[in-house]
Amino acid sequence: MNKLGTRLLFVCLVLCAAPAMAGPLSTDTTSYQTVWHGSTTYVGSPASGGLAGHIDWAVYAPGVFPAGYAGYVPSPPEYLYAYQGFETGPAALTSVSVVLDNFADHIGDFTATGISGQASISSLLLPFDSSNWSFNGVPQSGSTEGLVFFSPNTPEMTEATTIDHGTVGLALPVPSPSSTNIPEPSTLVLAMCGLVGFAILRLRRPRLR
Amino acid sequence: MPCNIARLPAVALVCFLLVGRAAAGPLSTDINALPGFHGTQFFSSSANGFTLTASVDYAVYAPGVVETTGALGSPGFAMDPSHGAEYVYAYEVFNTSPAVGGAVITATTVGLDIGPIPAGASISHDPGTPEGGVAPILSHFAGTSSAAWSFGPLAVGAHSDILFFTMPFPPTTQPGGVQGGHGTIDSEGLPSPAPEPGTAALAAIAAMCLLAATRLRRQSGPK
Repeated sequence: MNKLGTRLLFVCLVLCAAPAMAGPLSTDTTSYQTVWHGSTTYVGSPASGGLAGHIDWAVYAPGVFPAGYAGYVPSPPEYLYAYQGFETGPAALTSVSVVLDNFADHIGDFTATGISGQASISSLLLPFDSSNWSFNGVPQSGSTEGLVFFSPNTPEMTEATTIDHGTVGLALPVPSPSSTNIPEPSTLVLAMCGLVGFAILRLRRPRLR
Repeated sequence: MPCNIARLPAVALVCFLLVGRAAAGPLSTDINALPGFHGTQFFSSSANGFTLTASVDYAVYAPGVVETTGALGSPGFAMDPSHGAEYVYAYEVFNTSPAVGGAVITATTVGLDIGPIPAGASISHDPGTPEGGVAPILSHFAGTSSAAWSFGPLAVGAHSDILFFTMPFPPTTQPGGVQGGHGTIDSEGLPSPAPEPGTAALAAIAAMCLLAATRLRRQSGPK
């Protein structure tokens, strides 16, 4: 085989391997507005530490879940923010932290069809600060379970950080709740009542001549 | 009152020195630690409008020394589960971030390059830390590549308990990481166990064998 052939084969192998390494979250078109899914890479600093990988993510509209979802189901209508870490370097992944500029709640883990891996040993949601998951050490070629929190707010892009082998990595961008809130059903009903009341008052008011 | 204005820099200097003293723990100046392996490492990071500044005091103790060092109060066996059989690597994290716009600390880790974690090694924190401290919510070896402590969290102005692990190996320097809120992170050098001497010796023997094989091949090559 000549050099060109070898190179083409290498490119084909890389292209075939890339989708195989990505998890279901990164390609899930049932995500919010069919576009809120993807995968973001991280590399530790200093790079010699060997921390490297990617965080797959997806945001789901209220009442929508990834296929085969098994985890916490919120009672109020809230968006589901889902992440899954994949470690490809020799350093074990110890922690994932997603920036929270706005309200979020109910942090945890989940499994779903094609989404499994090492469960977190601790999860900590710091309101208006960050959501954090700690692991026993996700080894090379390993992945985390699905990582999840909920929010009544629609998504915007922010960043996540990863840590280990004493090195630190930045994953940019990943989704996080924005300041835009979905109106609660009760809020909408109250607004409607107000409008109807206002209309009745206008109709009953005697006309001045 | 021109005299008071002239005194301001002096007052600021005194305040700075007092704050510096308050932010220092017993580890950095402990003469019982191994020479060259006690001190303070500084971390800093800014992200999303928030600033993380932290200092990590550290000290490495030869086997058996930490149980008797007076600088740590009365750590006794709590600080050394190996009962004097292993080196003790100790760290204390100070969150020195600004009161306004400062970030909390959620995790601190030390990189390890020693292969599998030895059976006798242990990791924890000292509840008897002088002047108290914040206990981590988790102390664990993450895989074989890190010693890690998670906080729930370590607030601005607070400091941790003394965090430690024991290892049968003497120290070298490896990256250590601090992860904070709002996406702040930094990595700097901290003391960490050196690879096992046996591993290094095996590598040297392998290199010598390779060299000898190459020479033999050359000698027995085509004449």
